[in-house]
Amino acid sequence: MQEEKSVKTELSVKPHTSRSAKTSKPKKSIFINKRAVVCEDIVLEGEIRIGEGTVLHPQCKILAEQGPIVIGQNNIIEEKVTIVNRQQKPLLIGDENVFEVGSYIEGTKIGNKNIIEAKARIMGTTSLGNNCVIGAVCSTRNDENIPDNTVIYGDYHNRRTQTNGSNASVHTRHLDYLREVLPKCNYIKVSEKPKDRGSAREPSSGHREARSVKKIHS
Amino acid sequence: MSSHSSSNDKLRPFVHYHCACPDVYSSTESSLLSETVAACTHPTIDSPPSVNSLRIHHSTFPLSKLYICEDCHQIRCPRCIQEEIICYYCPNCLFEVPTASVKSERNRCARSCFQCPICQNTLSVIASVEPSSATSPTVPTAPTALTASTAQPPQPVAAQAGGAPYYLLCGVCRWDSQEIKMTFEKPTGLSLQLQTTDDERPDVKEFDHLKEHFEKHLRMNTPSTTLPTQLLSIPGMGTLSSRYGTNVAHSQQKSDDVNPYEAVVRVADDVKLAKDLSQLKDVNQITTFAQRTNQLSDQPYQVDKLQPQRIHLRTKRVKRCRSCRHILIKPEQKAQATKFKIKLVALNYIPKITIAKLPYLVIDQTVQIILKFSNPLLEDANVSLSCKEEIENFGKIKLLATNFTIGPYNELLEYDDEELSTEKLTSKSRPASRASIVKPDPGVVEKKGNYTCIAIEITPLFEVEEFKFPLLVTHTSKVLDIDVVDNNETQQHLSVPAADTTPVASAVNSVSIEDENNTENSKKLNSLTISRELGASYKSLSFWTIIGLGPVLKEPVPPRSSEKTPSSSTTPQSTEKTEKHSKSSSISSSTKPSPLNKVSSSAKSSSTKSSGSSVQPTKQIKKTTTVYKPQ
Repeated sequence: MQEEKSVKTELSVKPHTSRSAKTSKPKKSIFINKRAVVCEDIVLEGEIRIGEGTVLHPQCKILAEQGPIVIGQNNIIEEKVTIVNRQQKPLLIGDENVFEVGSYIEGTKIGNKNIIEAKARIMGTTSLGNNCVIGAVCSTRNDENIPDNTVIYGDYHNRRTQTNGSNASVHTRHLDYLREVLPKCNYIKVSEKPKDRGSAREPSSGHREARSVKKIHS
Repeated sequence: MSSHSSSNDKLRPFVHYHCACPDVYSSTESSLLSETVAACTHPTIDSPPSVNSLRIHHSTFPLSKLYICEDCHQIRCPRCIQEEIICYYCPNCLFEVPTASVKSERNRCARSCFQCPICQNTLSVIASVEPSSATSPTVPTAPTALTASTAQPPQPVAAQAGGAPYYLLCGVCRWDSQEIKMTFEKPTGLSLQLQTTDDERPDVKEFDHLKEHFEKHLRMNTPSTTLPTQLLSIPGMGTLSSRYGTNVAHSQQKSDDVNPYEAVVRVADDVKLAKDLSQLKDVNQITTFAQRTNQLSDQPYQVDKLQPQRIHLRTKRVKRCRSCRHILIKPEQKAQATKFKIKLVALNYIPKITIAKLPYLVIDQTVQIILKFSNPLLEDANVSLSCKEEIENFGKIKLLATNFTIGPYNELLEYDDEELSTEKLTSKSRPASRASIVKPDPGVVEKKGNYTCIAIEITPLFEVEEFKFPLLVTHTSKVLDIDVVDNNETQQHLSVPAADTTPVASAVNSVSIEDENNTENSKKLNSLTISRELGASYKSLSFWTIIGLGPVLKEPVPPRSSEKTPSSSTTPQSTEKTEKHSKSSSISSSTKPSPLNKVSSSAKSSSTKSSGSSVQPTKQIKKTTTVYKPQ
């Protein structure tokens, strides 16, 4: 499990050459917590809040088409993830969720500590409880309430209830690793005024490195 | 589900190769020599395999499943080969299990490999206490087996000391062996740790008792030596043969001198179970059929009685020709090695036939299909086709090209295929490629690289679910090394005008062959003398193929954007090319030109690439990609 994750993050490590200018359109109101690690080269649209410690890989899209999207703390949103809100109501995403590569999220509410595996889809106005796993390439129905600890897996989107809690320490280590590695290989979005927040802080120093690299490029 | 998919497969266009299994179709040829001589004359135009018989499904195969016996010079199918097991191994840990212990380990991995009782995926061993996170407050420890962790002697490696109770976790359905109170003290040799509990199960006990009871009887009979030694290497075969062998040999020994057997374990009453089942409300409370059959010993209905099963061993096998006993396939003995020492697959010997263009088939409407023959050999090959004009209950077939050549396979050309094609279009600088544009034979639509595309006219006369017809293919290619038997064949088969021959022995050289193409026609006639002079010989192989083209329609279908794609095995690129050519050769094409499709698809792919979304829920995403496309 843990190994798999590290591999994935290594995959994300390859430096992309795209220009940083193509990030997003006129933002309505995008608030990114300064402790969140948000890569450039992502699409943010509409009213979005990104909570503390959340990591957004490059190439993910968060589209608040109607209502706002509120993302909590310490989530990991990997490459090519699309989070869309088409309802008037806000889409609330809790804490410590993992959205793996290529997953697609609609819905009204995502709880805490969920894992949305690669290419999984949460559809329509579905709401997700806590500690759920939507397996790779599985999807939910358009409108349902998925209770806590549900696992959707396999070819036929079977469901069962899991008993083991998600391993929080794996998640924190995953986050730590990403916060260290992502800034080295990607341009990091400068959220608000980057006050000098603790010079030893990893993302900011990495960020500076990235800038210098950019200069060399241009 | 499976039946559904198989019915789909049936309706998909296909090219299957017919194997004239010697022991099925002709039992007369027994000696090796007569076989090889007869082999060439075996399939004739007069005896096409009957397309409508059910038997045809058992003797036609896709090319990928066929082998070639070099000694018999014949196609061999999975029905006419013999298999011998040379190695047992676990697919998960790749441990090679010695044949002697396979039986005692019940044909399953005896180390730490288990499959999930819920979803049958491989389980992984997880430490319930995180290594090097003693301060971490988060870890949910297992409710059980705390005593085990205290009992664990302190070890130098921190990771080992920390994660004392280990459990199995399924990465797919998140099943967890703690659910059934199963934990381990060590992360290795799990099945040994389970062995004790395993032995106490009533069904295991009963089986052991049963075995013990009969073993006395079985041991009395000496293993007979009638079986070949290879078969004896299969576990259980020895006892089997002794059982049957002795019945024949020592018939005086009575088979019923076994004492009556008395069961040791009484099976518990299942009234309660029936009651529970009758009050079932949630489908997740009962095991599925797959889960039950996966645990054959007790086949429980309650989910909590499902146990992780050890993973089944797999085998590596040697495959032999059944008529001459020569080895066709010989894998490396090691489980880790994926190479083959001997690999005589038909894919490397006979031309691969794919359907390059397939318009809709409509009753009484003549259409042309295009078959693409690709040559896997490094030599030029000659192919001649024949088939009956009229196929009963199907329609009429007209071969436009009955005899044509295919260029040699060249690994280097495979890489710059694109380059070559563009060059060809401008027809600059390359005399060889220009030469290939010139059509040497009627009916040949395109000849390039190592493939030739030919057209066949088809007139369906009946409305059928699947239009199929047999096609006799005779494939002649040059062999560099001299063989006595092959010289005989040369005599017979040079009546078929052979492909061009390279007088140089180093025919592998691509340049020389391409130059050769220019003068191909002039050389055709004297190919026989050339081959004689150089001592080269020709190998010829005739075989039937069955070509299925899908349904025949009553009414013509107006072309739509969701055009039926040609055979799955053809590349869109090649189709496009053939169409370009077909235009010039005034072929009535009823398919929609695929370039358009290609453009749209490529545009789509580029947009998805830039936007980075490959998920389907399309409408909205597409919109946003167009908006946010970086310019």
